[in-house]
Amino acid sequence: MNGLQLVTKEIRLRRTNFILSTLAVAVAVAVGLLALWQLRIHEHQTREYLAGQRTQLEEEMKKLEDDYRKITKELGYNLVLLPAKQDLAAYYAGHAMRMTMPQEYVTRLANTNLMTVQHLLPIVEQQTTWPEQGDQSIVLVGTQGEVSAATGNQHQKGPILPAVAKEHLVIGYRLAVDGDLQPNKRVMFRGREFTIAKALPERGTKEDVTVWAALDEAQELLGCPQQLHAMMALKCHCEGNDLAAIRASVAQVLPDVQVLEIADKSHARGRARDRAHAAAEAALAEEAQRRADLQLQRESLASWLIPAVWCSAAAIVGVLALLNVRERFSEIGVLRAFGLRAGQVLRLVLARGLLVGILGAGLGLFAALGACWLYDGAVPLQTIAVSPTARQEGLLLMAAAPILTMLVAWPPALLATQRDPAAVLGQE
Amino acid sequence: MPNEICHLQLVSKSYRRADGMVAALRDSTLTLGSGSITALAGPSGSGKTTLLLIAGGLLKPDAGEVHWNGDAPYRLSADGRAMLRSQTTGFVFQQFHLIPYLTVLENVMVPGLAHKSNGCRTPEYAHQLLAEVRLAHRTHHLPRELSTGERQRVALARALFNRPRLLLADEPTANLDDESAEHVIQRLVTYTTNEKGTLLVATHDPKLLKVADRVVHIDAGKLRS
Repeated sequence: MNGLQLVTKEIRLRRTNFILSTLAVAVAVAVGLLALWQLRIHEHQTREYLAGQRTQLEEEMKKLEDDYRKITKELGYNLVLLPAKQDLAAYYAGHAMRMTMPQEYVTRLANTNLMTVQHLLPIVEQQTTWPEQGDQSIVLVGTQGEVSAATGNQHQKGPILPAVAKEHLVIGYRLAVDGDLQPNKRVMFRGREFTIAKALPERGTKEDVTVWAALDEAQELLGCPQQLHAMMALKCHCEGNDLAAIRASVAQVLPDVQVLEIADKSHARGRARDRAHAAAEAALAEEAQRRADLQLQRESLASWLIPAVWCSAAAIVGVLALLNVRERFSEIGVLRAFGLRAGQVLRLVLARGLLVGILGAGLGLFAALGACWLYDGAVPLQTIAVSPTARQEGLLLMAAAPILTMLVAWPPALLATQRDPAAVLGQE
Repeated sequence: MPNEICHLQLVSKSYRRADGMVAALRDSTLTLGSGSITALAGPSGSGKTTLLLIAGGLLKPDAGEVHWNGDAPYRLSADGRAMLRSQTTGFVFQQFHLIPYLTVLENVMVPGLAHKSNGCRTPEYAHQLLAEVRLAHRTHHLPRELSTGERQRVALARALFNRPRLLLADEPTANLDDESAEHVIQRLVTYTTNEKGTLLVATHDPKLLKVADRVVHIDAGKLRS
């Protein structure tokens, strides 16, 4: 017979005390594990949720960006670069643009790879007449097609406005109707022969009375070779890219050019996209904050719940250990009388406390795992399994239980060793 | 006295009670020789149990000296005294004090727990002792399943398990029928004669008093031969 057998046999006799002690420890361990695990599970779920939301937001923003690009393609440009001496009052009044700038400006600007402006479109534009169509008043626009400011000559996603081929004209709706001009029809325009490339649908703007021609042909027709009246451009819809920044960056390349912003639908759509993005970011931040607050609340709850439950369990185990020792004074007296040293008796009592702690920790672990399973199936268990923090905290708590039960068993154990055996055995 | 095993010199012990100090033992001197049976006789409350506990190294006297074979147990630490006790003495308590969750065999072997190595303290020896007190058929029973007499005999077997040189017994036949008492007395006599053990026994039993080498009377804490 050895000490361990003595302990296990004693436990079997006084099993109620042992079971109650073990249950108290099991409850403390289970509550502790659940309180800590729910924090880690919530953290994990928050990370997953926010990452998912972030991915979804980025996908939506990409889609919005693409939509914006398509919309701006349909709706036109939002910047115009004019010669510095162009009278803005005349420009805004819709009068003819008198001032010109060298055509090489467009390539100079394009070759700087400026990120603030994209899709450069060099144009000449002048109100004139179409003598062959009864001196009909028209707007002649010459364009060579778009030059990408960001990547050189060809934009990655295609030009906003395709170039007009040489000896071809694109005409507005009103001109097509009035002159009965159909695509592929050959017409005379200011003494030269052209083919109608396209007749645009009615737009209710000056485009209905506009004729588009190749840039160099239009320059010759208007008597301003190698000159431009304006460059249309698309403002890069980047953060911090306001008009002042664009002007500053353009001025570094073309100091005698003024930059105007056209408040068109694409601009409004861009702002709407920004607002949607900001709203989505704010919602995401709000959700993150809400979850952080919830986490804080749960941490606060755990910070007093775990100590409270553990203190209660320690008190219960301590009282039960004391009752157990008091009940065992007689047998401890006998053991001492037959020569067991204080340390041996101490070990017997502490071994019981150790068993209470180990069994309680095991039971508590199973109870916590079972509660997780009942609550939400395998999901929380998988989260705990992949969370190093949850595993470490679990192990720490499991290790703390036997240490705690031995600590609270220590005073009753000391009492047992210090009790004079004669005081018990002499009570005849 | 030749082969002196235990000597108590002018030993006194008082207890604190609600009504003041009560002297349980007063200036008592007693010497126990090897292989002898000394019977302590006296009325209840006369100090018999106190004398046994002091002689057995369980209760430190207020005054006086105790020697076992030249060793002074009360000059040792509690653990030193416990160790010496386990090598020297055996006890039969009046209330038996069997450990309730251990079987008869395990109760007999309890004194062996104090020692790292078993030596002669083997289960076979425990079985032999149980057979000697006629409890071989009860080895795996729990104390609660035994009669009072059987418990008393288990307590005796336990006291003998460490082969003590000094056996202290408090009313070892008080709860026994005649036949059982006869067996216990025979075993105690065997212990002193064959094993050269020394027995100090507190008793009122005339049969036990009859086999004693010496009867010491105690009254109000005073010894008188």
